[in-house]
Formats: sequence, C-alpha cells, structure tokens
Amino acid sequence: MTPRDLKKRKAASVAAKPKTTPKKKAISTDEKRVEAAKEAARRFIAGIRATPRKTKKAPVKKAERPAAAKPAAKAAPSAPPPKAVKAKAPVKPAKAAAKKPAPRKSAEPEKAAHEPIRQAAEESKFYLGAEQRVMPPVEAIDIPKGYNTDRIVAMVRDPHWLFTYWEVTDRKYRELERTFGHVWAACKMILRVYDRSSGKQGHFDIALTREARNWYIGVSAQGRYQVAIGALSPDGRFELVAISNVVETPADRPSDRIDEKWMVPDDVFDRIFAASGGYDMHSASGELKGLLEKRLLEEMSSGSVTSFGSGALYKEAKGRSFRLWVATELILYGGTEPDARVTVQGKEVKLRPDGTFSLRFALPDGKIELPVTAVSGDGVEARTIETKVTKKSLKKEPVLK
Amino acid sequence: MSEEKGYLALVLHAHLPFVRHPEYEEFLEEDWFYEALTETYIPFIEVFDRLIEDGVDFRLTMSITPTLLSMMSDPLLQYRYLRHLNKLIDLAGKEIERTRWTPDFHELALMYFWKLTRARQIFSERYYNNIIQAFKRYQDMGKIEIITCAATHGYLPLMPNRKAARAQIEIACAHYEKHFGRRPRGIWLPECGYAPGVDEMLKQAGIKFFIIDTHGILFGTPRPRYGVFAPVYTPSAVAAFGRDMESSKQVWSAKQGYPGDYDYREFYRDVGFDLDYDYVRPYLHSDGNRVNLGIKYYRITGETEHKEPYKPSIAREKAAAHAGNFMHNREKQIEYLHDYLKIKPIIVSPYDAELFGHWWYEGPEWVEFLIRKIHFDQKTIKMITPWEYLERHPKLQVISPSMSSWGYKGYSEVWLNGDNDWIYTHLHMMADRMVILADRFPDADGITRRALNQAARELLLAQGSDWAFIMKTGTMVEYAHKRTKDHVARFDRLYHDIMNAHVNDQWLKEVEHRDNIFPDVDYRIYRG
Repeated sequence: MTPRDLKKRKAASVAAKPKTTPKKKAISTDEKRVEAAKEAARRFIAGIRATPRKTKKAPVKKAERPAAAKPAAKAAPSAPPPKAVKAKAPVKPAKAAAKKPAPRKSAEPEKAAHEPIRQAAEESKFYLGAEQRVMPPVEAIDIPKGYNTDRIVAMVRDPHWLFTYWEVTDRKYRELERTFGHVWAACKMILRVYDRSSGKQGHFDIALTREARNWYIGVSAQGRYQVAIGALSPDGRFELVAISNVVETPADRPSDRIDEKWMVPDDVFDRIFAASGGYDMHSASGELKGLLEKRLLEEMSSGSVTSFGSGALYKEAKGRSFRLWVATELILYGGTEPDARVTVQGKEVKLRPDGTFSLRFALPDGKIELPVTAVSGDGVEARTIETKVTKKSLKKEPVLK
Repeated sequence: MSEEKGYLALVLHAHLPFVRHPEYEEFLEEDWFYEALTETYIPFIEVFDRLIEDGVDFRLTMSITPTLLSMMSDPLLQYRYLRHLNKLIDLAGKEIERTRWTPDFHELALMYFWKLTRARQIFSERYYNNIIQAFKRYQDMGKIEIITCAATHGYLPLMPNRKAARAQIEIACAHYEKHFGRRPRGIWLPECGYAPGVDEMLKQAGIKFFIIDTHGILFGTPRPRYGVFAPVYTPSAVAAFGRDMESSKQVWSAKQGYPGDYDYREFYRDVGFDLDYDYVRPYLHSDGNRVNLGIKYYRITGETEHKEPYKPSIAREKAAAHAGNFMHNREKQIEYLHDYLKIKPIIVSPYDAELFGHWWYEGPEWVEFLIRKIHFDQKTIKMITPWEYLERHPKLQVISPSMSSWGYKGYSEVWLNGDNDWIYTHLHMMADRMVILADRFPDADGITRRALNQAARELLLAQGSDWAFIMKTGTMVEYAHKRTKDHVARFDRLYHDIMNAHVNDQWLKEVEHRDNIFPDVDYRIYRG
C-alpha cells in the first residue's frame, strides 16, 4: 500500500467528516511504544509542561510503515480539551495552577460540531496531495537559539489557559548563584502567577525544571494575570528574574451586565442566545461523534471494490489494509509516409514529422474494433489495418493464508 | 412590492499566504495559488459576469487579503500561472483522446478542457493577467464590497506589540488604497481573531466595520440586545458584525452539510495519482513526485473507497437544490427573528472563499443559484453589505466584544499549541526589535533604509497565521517551518547588520528580490 493510497483513504473520510476521530487502529503497538519513548524524551528535554498537548504527530520517519503513520497523525484528536490535562496530573510537578473555581453554568463555546469539517476544508487549501519533502536550502538557515535577554511573555490561549515562554540567560543564573550562595543548590526556578483581577490579589507558584522554556497555565475566565519567573529558596525567598505583560482572559459565558437602554429580560435573551447558536455545540457534538465512529468502523471493516475508469479491481480482506488495483490502457502506434492522412476509428490522427503516430486509450472491458486507415498524400492509395481487442477483467477470490 | 423582513450578508474571505520563489524554477507550494485561481477566483468572475449580464442584482462582501492581491498582481506569478495552465490544457487535450472509449470520463475530459481554456481566456485575454481588475469593476458597480485584512494575515490576539499589530492593519489599508483607489471601509480580521483593543487600532486606520465570531458578540459586555442579528458598536465606534451559526452549520454539518453530498465531486481523487506514472510525469514538478493536477473524475459516491464517475449535470441539480434549501431556511430564520425581535435582522454568513470551487467544486454554482433564487423567488430576504446596513441602520448598541476567533474551539488554540508555540518567542522579539530599529534610525536613507524596509517585510511575512495553522494541521509542515525559519533568520541578520552599520548590499538585493511583497513599505510605521 502506498502512502498515497492511505492518504486517499483518509481523504475520503475527511471529505465527509471531521478529522478529530480517533483512528486508533492505524497506530501499531510498536509505534505507540516509539511514541511513548519520544514523548518521554521530549519531556526530558523541554521540561514537563502543564499543558494540553496535541497528541504527538505520528512519526514522519519513513522507516516503519510510513503509510500507516500518516493517517494516524491526521486523525489524532487535534488537542484534548483542557480537562484532559487533569488525567495527566501525576506526571506533572506541583500544580497549584489547576485549581480554579468550579465553573457556573458553562457555556464555553466548544465550537459547534461542524467546525472540524470546516477546518478540514480550510486545510484543503494547502493540500496538494504531495508527500512532505525536504527542500534544498538556498541559504543557510540559522535561527537564534535565544536572544540573550531575561524576559517572560504571557499570552492568552482561551478563557482557561495562558501560555507563557521565557528566556533566562546564563549570566542571570550565575548572578542568582552568587545571590543565594550555598542555598542555590536547593533553590527552584518557579513561575509565580499573580492574579491581577480587580478585587483580587494573590498568586500561585509553579515549579519548573531548569530545561523548561514555556508553560501552559490553567486560569479562570475573565481574569487578569501577570506571570513572573524567578528563583525560590527552600525558606521562601523569591528572587525575581523577569515579569510578564499583564493579560486578560476572555469571558466563557454571556455577560451579567445589562444595558438599561437596550434592556433584555433573561428569558428573551435566552432565546436570542439560542437562536444565535449559543447552545448548539453541546447537543450536536455527541451525536456527531457517534456518527463518525460508526462510519469509521464501516470503512475499516468492509472491503470494497472500486473501478478505476477502465476497470480496476481490488479487494480488501477484513481488517487488513492490503489492496490491489489494476487499470489497462491500450497504446496504438505505427507509421506511414509523412504526407499521408491517417484515421483511427474514423478520426484523423496527427502525424509526427517522420510519419509515425501513437495513440493511447483507456481500455474498458468489452470489444473494441480499431480500423487504422492511411491515405497517401496524392490521394491515390489507401490502406487499412484493423485490430480487434477484447478485454475482460476477472476478479478472483482473495487468498488469505 | 412588500418590503423585506431582513438581510443576508454573504462574506467570502479570499486569502492565501504569500508564496513566491523566484530562486527556484518552479515551486510546489505556488500551486496553492494556481489551483485557487483556476477553481475559485476565476469561476467567481464567471458567476458575477453571468449575473450582471442577466440583470440579477446582488450584494456580496469579499475580503481579498493583501498577500493574495500581491500575488495576483505579481508578473512572475502571472507568468507562471499561464505556464501551469498551458500544461494542464495540454493534459486535458490528451485526456479527451485517451478517454474516447469510456464515455463517462470522456465527457469530463471535455469539460475540463473547456473550463481550462476558458480560464486562460479570462485570465490573459480579458484581464491581461491581472484579475484584480475584475473584482475592482464589481466593486465600482456596487455589486460587491471588497474589504481588507491584516497585511500578511497576522493573527492579532497573539501580537502583544501594539505597534506591530497596528502596522499590520495600516499597511493593509495603504495597500488596498493602491489597488482600489480608496481606503477600505471594512476589514476581515485574520482568522476572525479579535481581542479588546483591536477595535481601537481599526478606528485609527479609519475602518468602519469588521466581522467577528458569534461568541465574540454573545459574550460581549453588556449583553447584546439582539444577539448576532444586529451589529454593535465597539467602544471605539467601529461596528462589529457577528457570524451567524445556523447558516454556517447548514453548510458544514456532518449530516446534512452540502459539500459532502455524494453527487458532488470528490476532492481527493485526482489524475495526478490515478493515472499511469509515465503518462502524467510531464505534468508533475521536476522532482517527479505525484501531486494533484486538478483533473478529477469521480464523485464522492458514499463512504466507500469505490467511487463512481462524476456527473456534472446531476451535481448541478444538487447545487440548485441546496441553494434552494439554504434560501428557504434563511427565509424561515429571518421571519422568526423579525417577528420575535421586531427588527430587520441581518444574517452574516462568512466563508473561506476557497471553500467554493477548490474544496466544494460546485460551490460557485451554488452561490450563483442562491443569488438568482433570492433575486427572483422571494421577498423576505434582501442581500446586503455591512456598509449598506450601517447606512440604513446607524443606531446600534455599544458593546465590548469578547476575545474570539473562528478557529476550532473559538479562541487561539489553533495558532498556539505544542506544534507551533515555539514561533512566538521569535515573532515577538522581531516585533520588539523592529520598533527599536525604527526608533534608533528615525530617518535612515540609502542602504540602511532599504535594509530597514526589508526587515519590516521579513517581520510581516513571518507573522502570517498560515504557518502556525499549517504546523498544527500537518499538511505541508516542512514548508511552514522553512518559511518561519527563513524570515526569522533573515530578520536576525538584518537587525545585526543594521545595528553594526554593516549591511551587505548584494545579499540585501537577493533578499529584496525574493521577499518582494509591499514594495512601498516604510519602516517608519513602526516608530514610537
């Protein structure tokens, strides 16, 4: 099975459904193991993130079943919802971050169920059917590893998550070491997340590994936050390295504030909210998920037969992804005097300067008669050769050993 | 004649990232642009021409991004598009012969040959390779309202440097003016990405309205009196039009969504993969990898691998039926809202332009049917542009919209996740450094000025949201990495060269030649 074939399979499914379906089958246990190892390595390198990460893309490496790896990647859930992080909690360092007030009536716009389909369509803009390729670089690409400044930047991902990245220079580490002296070895680098919402104060800390460069932080909707990075000694002394911009998380539900001039009673607003699509998402998503799983199952378990125009056949054995397709074309070629007139099936054919010609036809099942006639340039002589072709494709029962 | 009960504002967002590689003889990702021209933009020109010819009045809003405009007006890409088209026409011609004994495919080969030659005629003979003229004409006729977008489709909510965000908007407006002879009235925020404060920048640029996702309005403060069915003013008096979910769902729903109909053309089956390698080889890129060529013979058929031949006439009937269904549902929706809200509601339905034609092959026909039906078959709905709406209904509620985007899950996760979050440390540092440079050299000239302008271009190109999107979705990731890294590296070198007064003229010329977007850009826009 070629990668393309699989892409097509995936493609066929994308055409009709969102790609968030967990296409588990495509990942073999081995690959899972490789994935797990990779995940571990990455965590080691990048520091553990308190983050909802996208399920790592199936390896792009070509070695093992590259074909199978691809659709798995495509089908992987695009990102687990923030809640999924909680399940991961054990692998994380102390996580004050996760504590947040229980949401009231949550109207978080998990976008409506149809959104993934829209995304798939959007993606099609960039889909050329081509495999990934490595471009010969025209110039050396060398991007800075750091910018030699102590800084931290905070960004809002959604009502419940911030993203922050930072850089702490070696110079700064040496300075911290001097400042703390012998306790330095026992110090931790931490993120200190300040709640700057009006009427609130306070902060929580997140302990970092030295290698961590960024972090996703769980917060509350409609809050104001600022994130500091610094070193914390066992006895609670905090030495600031850098402090971020102040960011505000958006609302995850309608406002409680009502405009006097544009008064709208609760029940009326509720209807408007519903008509605007405010409640859509939850009701639709479960239903859709069921539908997709069903489709996926059908697709994977049923063998199918296809015809590629001129009659291609393949058969899939249950649960296996081995297949075969065959198509036939007929090439007719010949030659005469350069000034002769040639017709094939009564249609005139263009000759090359040396009097030769060739034609190519998709050949369907059935009988074809192919009279080729050449009339000499002076119109005096005509010759005809007729070829008869019968084509029949036979599909035999698959043999499964 | 009875008066309409509400409005429909169809908004098409036409965008592609700036992809132009003169340093290569041919370049795979340039196909994005060529395919979009053949399958989306040129078919829309045909649709609009037919409507105008038949005296069908219509209103449509179309954002054409500065990157797309730049590509449409670029002579190299125009030339390469014709080269691309000529190859396809050659292939389609061969296909007519090859399919002689398979009538279903023969008919399709003829259709492609006809459509491709027609595209060439429209592109080169009617518009002299620059189809912007076509859209400008529709705008001048009052049929479509063209709005702008951020300069390189930079996602504004993740751009903390306000000067950099402002530059994205202002450069776009200036670019629009250059092409259309006036400032833009409206803007499509990249990815519909809004964050408080963006409205202020829009106001400074003289923009009157923008489109926002549903929950941007619904979760706004105070509560929106009419939901998304009337626009609102933001605190800086720029109008925000909320996206309607119902009409969006109608197109996208997994069950009854239109583009997935079994009679429509299957996007993923292409002769580039289905036909004999030696036969299609001359039409592939020089690396010889199979790619889509745009000639597709099958319909979606069903949830199987088995695909039946595409039947254009049946698909066309379906498009008409779907247009009728869409209109009927808008009528019902508008009647309900009109009675309930006691206003003339506006239904804002924005879509990616490339949805029509490229992904959903019958999409442009669907739009045409919809417009015709609205014109001839009913009186409830009137098509409108946001600007016309504001002229008729200038009194609006004032609301601070909520941060939002039209990306999956409604916020910034698509552009900020484990696959692409590494880019922001660079993008932000580049923006900060650009401001530092502009302040340090308030009036540079000569080579320093050129280098500063080029630094601005590299920053802008790196900021395009497409790279983060592609990294997340997994299609053509290598290229998105390459582009981000190229622009980061080029900017870094420019920054140091400028600071050290050591700009290499030859290298600068080379980079100017490659990343030649916005030839008039003035780095001083980043000054404090």
